[in-house]
Amino acid sequence: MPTIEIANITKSFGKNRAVDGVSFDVHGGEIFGLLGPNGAGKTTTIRIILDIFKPDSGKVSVLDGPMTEEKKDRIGYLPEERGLYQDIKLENCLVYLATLKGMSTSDARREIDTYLERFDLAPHRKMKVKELSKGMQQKAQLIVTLVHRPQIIIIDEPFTALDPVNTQMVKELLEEERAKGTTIVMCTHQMHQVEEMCDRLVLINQGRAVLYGTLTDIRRRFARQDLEVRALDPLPETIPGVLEIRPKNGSHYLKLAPETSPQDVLKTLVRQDIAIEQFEIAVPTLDEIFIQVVQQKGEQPDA
Amino acid sequence: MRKFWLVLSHEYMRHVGRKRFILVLLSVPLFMLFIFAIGFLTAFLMSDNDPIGYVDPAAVLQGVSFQPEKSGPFADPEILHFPDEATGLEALRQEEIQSLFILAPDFLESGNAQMVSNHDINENATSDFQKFVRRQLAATLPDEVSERVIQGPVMTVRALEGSRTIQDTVSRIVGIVLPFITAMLFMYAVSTTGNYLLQALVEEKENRTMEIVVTSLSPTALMAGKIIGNMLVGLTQLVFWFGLGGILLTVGLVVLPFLTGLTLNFGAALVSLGLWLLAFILISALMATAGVATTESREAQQFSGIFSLLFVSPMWFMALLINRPNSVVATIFSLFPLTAPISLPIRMGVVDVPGWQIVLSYVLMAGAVVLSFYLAGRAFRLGMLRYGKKLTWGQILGLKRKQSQES
Repeated sequence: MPTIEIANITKSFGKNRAVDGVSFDVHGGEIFGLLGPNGAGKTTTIRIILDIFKPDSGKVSVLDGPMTEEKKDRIGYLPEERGLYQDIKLENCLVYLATLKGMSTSDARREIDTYLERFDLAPHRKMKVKELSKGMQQKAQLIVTLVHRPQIIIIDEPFTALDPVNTQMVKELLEEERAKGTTIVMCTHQMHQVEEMCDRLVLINQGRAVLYGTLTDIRRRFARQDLEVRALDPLPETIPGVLEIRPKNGSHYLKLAPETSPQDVLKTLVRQDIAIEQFEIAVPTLDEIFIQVVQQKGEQPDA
Repeated sequence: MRKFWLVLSHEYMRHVGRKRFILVLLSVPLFMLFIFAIGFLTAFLMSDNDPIGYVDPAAVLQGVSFQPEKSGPFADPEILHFPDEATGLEALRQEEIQSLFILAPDFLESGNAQMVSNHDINENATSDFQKFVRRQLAATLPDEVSERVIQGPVMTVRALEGSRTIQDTVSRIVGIVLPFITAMLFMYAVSTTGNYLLQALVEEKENRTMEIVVTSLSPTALMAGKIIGNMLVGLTQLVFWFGLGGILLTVGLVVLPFLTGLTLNFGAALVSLGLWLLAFILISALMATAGVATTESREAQQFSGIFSLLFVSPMWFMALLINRPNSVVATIFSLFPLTAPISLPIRMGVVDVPGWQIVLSYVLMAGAVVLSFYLAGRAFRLGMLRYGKKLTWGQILGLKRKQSQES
């Protein structure tokens, strides 16, 4: 049973259709990437999941049914537009927001203490939020998202304003949550983070889901008849069935003719007694897939 | 329900715990004290306790002098008899007396007297001397009659329809002044509360906390907690101010003789209280609308300024409300929801306002409250997550369809 089920939802604002028939499932204990260019409909989709907006049509199921007030306590949300009460002390702000998620004041204080220590914010607990740096506020916001031990975490651009050390810490934190069985929906533009962390993803463009599946499946779908070969001996200038041989970062990029298979090329090279160090199908990066899909305005290569 | 209480107590404590709130709380009694002190100082500076002299050629007052029992800055002055005008004028030149009254030879028939003074005419000296003359002329009468003569007539003002009588001047003045002061205090508290609420909502949007909070509790619980929490801040102010006023009035009734016998119109007070409570809700809802419809505090203040201005606008027409309380303008003012909270109580202080007008005023106010809540709810739904884009009146009223929001 998926933790979140989105079935054919649509949402319009005036004449603008922000979400147009989007469907996807998020499974328990996975990190799910929600991707898309600016204005694609990601935030609206998240707000529909969180019941901030009602969809014009379609169905949303969260934790086995429609959203309820009780379920809100089981969800941690880090919106893209970060926000904390600026004019109150950090500790008071965190305790207030944690109690709004159903925690008792004493539990909230205890958990917040732990997180403040972990995030190196303990010395700043009595400072007003507005006196903290942007990075510190970002960490405080993460505490609000995680402190009540949610079953679902929806996190929008989690690495914004973080230095590499804190980025690594947040990644470890999210990995920990996944290990505990927490479902994480991560919205980001940082494709290398998605490649590194996400199990599955959906790419939304112009309100429509244009890519959906596991990372491996998607990359395989976009894989071309191309090879990346690193050899100890120089490659011949021409190889039968290869249209182009191009050097690339110490290896070679081979563009194959449509009727040529990688096995044909491998056989040729072995026959010519060329010592091969690396031979792999050139899989496109997620960045390349993203750009390709978005520039093609949602048309999938294998569609 | 717990979350509603959390929001309520958060909103309440964030204001009540601040120095600014304590300052506002104390500012009103301190301001009153300041006004009282200024009045006292003015009276002190204007008071002249130097003796008053008089010359009485017809010996009407039998050459009696008056020696006050009490001394001090506000005690009655000593009144001295001079055998002739020359001696009196010499005493005036020597500044032994502040002024000299020369009674006409036919004073008993004409009541004429001449006052000579080195300075401007002192009203207090005139009234003190008149009191002395009355007391002397009535000296031979029995004590009760003498007291009545000195006190003068007791006027009873009675409304034509016979439902209202005011027997003494103090009650009449208090009947006008008390609703005025109470209405002003109430509106001050309402306006402060409204601004707190406005600020709370604008901050929520400016800080971007709105999106987190609405994923923790329902918008209804959030708005209700905010509105009631901020209303309680205003009520705290009112309880403090009225409690203090009540104590002062109670003490005044015991200590100040001129307040003895003061009658208050409790019916009018109840009608006013009900109207003010509705006004409290109305302005809270209007401020909430302004808070969620705008994008920053300054803009919201301008937006809300229009309502505040309308609420206090009856102050500019105070003379009309008191002198012509049954005029068409005064009637309209006491029916229109934004001007009724000040206008109606003031009118009720001077006349018997017809029952149908009170009922209509309540009905219109209740209608305005319902409408304002509808607008606040609509503005909240449309505007809560609009960052940097304000709502127009057309959008709030549903005249214009909302364009693209977030995506």
